[in-house]
This record gives sequence, structure tokens and C-alpha cells, in this order.
Amino acid sequence: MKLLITIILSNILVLLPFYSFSQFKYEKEVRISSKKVPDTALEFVKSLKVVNNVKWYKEISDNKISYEAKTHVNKKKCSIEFSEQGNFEDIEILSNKNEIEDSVYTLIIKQLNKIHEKFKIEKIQIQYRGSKEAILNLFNQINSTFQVNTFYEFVVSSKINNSYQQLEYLFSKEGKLIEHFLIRLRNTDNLEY
Amino acid sequence: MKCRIILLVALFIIPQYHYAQSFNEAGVLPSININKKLEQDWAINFRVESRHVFFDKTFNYNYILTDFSVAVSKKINLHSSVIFGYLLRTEKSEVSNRMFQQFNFIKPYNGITVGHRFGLDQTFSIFESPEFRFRYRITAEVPLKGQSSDPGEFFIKLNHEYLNEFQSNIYDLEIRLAGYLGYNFNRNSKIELGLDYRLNSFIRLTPANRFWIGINYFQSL
Repeated sequence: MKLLITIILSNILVLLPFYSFSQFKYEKEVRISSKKVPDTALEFVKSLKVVNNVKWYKEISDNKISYEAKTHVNKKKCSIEFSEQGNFEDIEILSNKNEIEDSVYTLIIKQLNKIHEKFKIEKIQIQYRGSKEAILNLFNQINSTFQVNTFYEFVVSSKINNSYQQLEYLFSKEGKLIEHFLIRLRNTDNLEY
Repeated sequence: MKCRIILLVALFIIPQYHYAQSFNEAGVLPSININKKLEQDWAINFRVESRHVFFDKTFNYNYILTDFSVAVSKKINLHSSVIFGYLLRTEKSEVSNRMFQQFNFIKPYNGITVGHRFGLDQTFSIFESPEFRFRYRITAEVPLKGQSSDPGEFFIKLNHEYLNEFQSNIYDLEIRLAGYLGYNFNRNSKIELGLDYRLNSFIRLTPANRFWIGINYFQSL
């Protein structure tokens, strides 16, 4: 009996890392013309005064279809995501560690250090979620009482089970880990050989 | 406007005039790549490539050679890998052996995936003295839809390569330029069709221009 429990426990310990990173994120982005974008999404982007030169994409992931506007805000890359119906979901702005409060950044790094023996930060994005009004007021620099929720998205590369992988982590404004995904890496054989 | 047109015409005519006496060859360069990912970021690649010339002063079919190669690669981080391989070249009446070592760095930038390949190779045959080459290739893969080339989508691939060749204490430089239209059948297989232009022996001898229609098939197992 003891042996059986030991075997089950050791199997759980071996399989746990696989299970915890088993959620894959796969997204396919297709460039589309603004004519194919829901009106509500178009109107929202137009009302963001800081945004110009917008490229539209249809994003197809494993479980949903969404629309994404890619543009620049204050010379920083920005993507604005909408649901299939055109409802605003979030704004992501390419950032760096200096734009995150030191204590929060330290907390995030501490958590990543606990998960990975070694890792490299590939990309940091600040994500804003909230009502349409809250986001419009934030970006058009209008003071308001509307609540904007801030999140930090970290894309890191690290070795998992002896193989290099890319992962996406989402942290709250306070640095609490909310969710993470393994990013499915593209096949680049034709660039290597 | 007139000046620009004259300049453009001159730019096209001058190289043709300069290479009027050069050696020209055209043909087909089909290749098949089979790649198998192994554990711990190792991979093995098998490649067969052959050369068939259709034009050499006159239109005339001529089989040139077939290369068989096997290479093992190891990822050293998310974007880089090292490759060690062996190539067997079979020509009509000659066989040569080539060892090659490569370092690859591949990273996407704004939807365009750029690959840098630094390589060394050493070729040995009983008919010629050993040849040593140092090569650098930059490749850009541009998706024609979206931010990455996904299954069921076309892409453009552009290659530019410099090959420094040393044989019997003589140096030569080969420059290659290639453009391909590719299609991803699925995540594991893709095909490319394009034009591969190669220029060499222009430093000391008559320049040799070679134009190949490249057809590459890649399959991951």
C-alpha cells in the first residue's frame, strides 16, 4: 500500500509541472480592412484622440474570435481588443520595467523566480480594462471617477522540462499572478536550413 | 522625373553591359527537408537537394548533382540554435564530403521573422583540393496576412547570403539573392517556390551568374 501511495505521489510530482503549463495559447491574426470591423469598435477607436494610423486584425484563438486594432500611443505600440460583437475588451501598451512601480515589479520577479530557475523577459505590456467611458477618459486625459483596471502582461522565455518555451503571465496592478499560458512556438525550419 | 527615369534605365543597363561576357546558367533546384524534433531541444534534419540545368548558353537539359545531408541542431536559447551536419554530394563522376557547422538566430520583429545564419563548412573530394567556406545569410519571412504566417496562409521569404570561399589559397566570394513565395499547408509542412540568383568568380575571373528556380518542401515529423 505504501509503495502504491509512493508511486502515485511521485507520478503526481512528475506530472504536476506538465499540468500547470498545459494551457496553450494559440492565436491566428488575419489583417482585415476597417470595413469588416463592427461599427462599435470603429467608433471607439476613432474617439481615442491619441490614436492614428490604425491597422485592423481579426484574431482567431482556440475558443474565440475577436478584433484587434494595432496602432501607436505616444510612440508606443498599442493594441486595442474587441469582442466578435465589437465590445471593448482591453488595451495593451508595449512598456518596460521602468513603467511599473518598483515594489510591484520586485514582487512579480520574485514570483517568476519561484516558478523558473532561469528566465528572460521577452516583452512587457501594460493592459487596461474597464468601461468604454473609463478608457476614453484615461486616454483622452480627462479626469474622471470611472474605474480603470490595470494589469501587467509579461512574456518570458524559460526552460521547462529541459526545453525552451515562451510563456505569457498576467499580473494584477498589485503584482498578484492571475493567469499564465504557454505560447505555441512557430515552426521556423525554413529559416534554419 | 526624366532624370530619375534615365538613372533607373542606366542602373539596369550598366550591369548587363558589364557582364556581357559573363557565364550564365539557369536551372531548377528542388529540395526536400524532413525535420524531427527530439527531446531536450535537439532536432534532426534530413535534406535532399538536386540541381538540373536547363540553360547554359543554349537551352539544354543537364543533370548536375544531388546533395544528401543530415544535421543535428540544439537550441541554446529561445531564439538561437547550433547545427552540426554532414553533406554527401554526388555528381556524375565525383563524390565529395562536406562537414558544416552553423549558428542560427531567429526572432520575429513586428510580424516579420528575421533569421541570421552564420556558417562554416569544409568540403573534401579526391579530385579537388579541400574547400573552406565562411558564410552569412540573412532571411526575412513576411506573412501576407496578419502578423505571422499561419496554416493555410501564404508568405514571402527573402534570402541574402555571402559565401567566402577559400580553396588552394585562392579566395572567392559568392553572393546569393533569393525570393520565394511560400504556403503553409499546416503547422508542420510548407512549400516555397521562387527565384535564387547566385553570382561568383567576379573578383578574379569572368563573373558567373546562376539563376535557379527553387522549390523547397519542409516537413516536420
